[in-house]
Amino acid sequence: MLDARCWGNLPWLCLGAAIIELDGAHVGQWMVSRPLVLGPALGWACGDIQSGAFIGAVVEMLLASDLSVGSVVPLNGSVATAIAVLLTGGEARVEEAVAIPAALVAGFAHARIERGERIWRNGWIREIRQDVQDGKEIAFGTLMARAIGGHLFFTWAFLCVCLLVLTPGLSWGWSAAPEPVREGMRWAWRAAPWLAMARLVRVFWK
Amino acid sequence: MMNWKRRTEIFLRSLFLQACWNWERMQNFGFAFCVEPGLRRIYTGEALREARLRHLDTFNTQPYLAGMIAGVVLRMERVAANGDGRVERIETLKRALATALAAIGDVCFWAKLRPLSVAAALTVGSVVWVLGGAARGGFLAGAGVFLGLFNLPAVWIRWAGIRLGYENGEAVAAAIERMNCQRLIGRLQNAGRVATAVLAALALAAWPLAAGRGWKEALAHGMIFAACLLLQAHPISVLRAYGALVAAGLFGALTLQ
Repeated sequence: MLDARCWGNLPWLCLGAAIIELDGAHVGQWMVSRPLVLGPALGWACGDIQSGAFIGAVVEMLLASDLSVGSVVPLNGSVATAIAVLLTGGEARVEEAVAIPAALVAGFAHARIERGERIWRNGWIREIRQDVQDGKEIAFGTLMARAIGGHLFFTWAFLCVCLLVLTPGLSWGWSAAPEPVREGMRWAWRAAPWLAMARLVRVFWK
Repeated sequence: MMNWKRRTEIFLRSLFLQACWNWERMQNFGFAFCVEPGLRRIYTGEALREARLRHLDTFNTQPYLAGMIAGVVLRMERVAANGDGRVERIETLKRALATALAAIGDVCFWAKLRPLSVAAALTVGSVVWVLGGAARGGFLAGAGVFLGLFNLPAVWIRWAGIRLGYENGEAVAAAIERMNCQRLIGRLQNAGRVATAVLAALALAAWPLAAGRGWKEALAHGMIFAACLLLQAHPISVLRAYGALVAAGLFGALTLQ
């Protein structure tokens, strides 16, 4: 078990989360990257499965109505869950009330950057089509490895940078915030599971 | 041509359908990767080059149903290579199938089966956790239900769809119609309603009372849940919804200070 409170373990925990995140769209789509599975798995790795399971369940229900159809890139639930679990189990043990909204924003930012990644790949596809028109063989393996490896590196780097910035930033911000702000954020976190369940219920009861 | 080895090859390659997703042509590279071994067996030289260009064209569909389209395409390419079919028909049908199957697959898997699996998993997981007293048992039970309930039909359609597409070729639309997808969607909707109703009842009443928390706390949670349901009356993004909660919390904290 890797203690998320130790900075030295952070790159390995982020790498594990980034590898599992590939299942979201790039490889397989077996649903192991969903918050409902990733949350408790990361929580178990950090020694607090209960907290990880709760965070994973809340994030999963919050994203119940977010569909990745067509060209839509929804908020990345896997990244949000990984950041939330590692923040709350990390070096400074950031409080859930501020870690969860910060993780959701990070998940949104990752989705926006992934859109840029998809635009970047346009150039590769044009080169492939030109190669085929010129009678060359398609290097499927090379391009797949480049796409998957590139996304893995980008997600791992994103997780590391977010955690390195957010852990001290949120800890300082939380301690500096006025008490009413902290109390309001705590109330929002206590109500969040009900919001999450309402989003799940609304999928079937419109 | 579509023996176990070929089908396994297409199935494994279909797992990488979205690895190289791009804005210009979407899943084109992943689809070309899927059908490449089949095209190599049908064509050589200039014909192979043209076939590859055909399948590097724009393509986007629900990932679990791409194998079915690959089967249809390979069947039609074989027929065209024998001089019994037109290549233009392949492109037209591929585009039509991609759109139609995307609509069916997105509703069945993303909009119905996945949230249903979540509701069932949380219900089973919380029951095991509370009655068994161990978080790990609850997680394992919940994750098992979620992954099993979702992946069994997903893997089945990914595997069976390849052969269904290849055996039926152009007539695959009739085969899809026989599957009666509207009735399936209706059943998933009803199952989802039952699952979410049970989950909500457990969360609102059963667990607080079992934990000895009393009716007042259960009622307060019920009111918060009702307010959240009203907040969801119109589609709202998760960030805006959580932002509304934070705003309500800040307002309450400042007012009661």
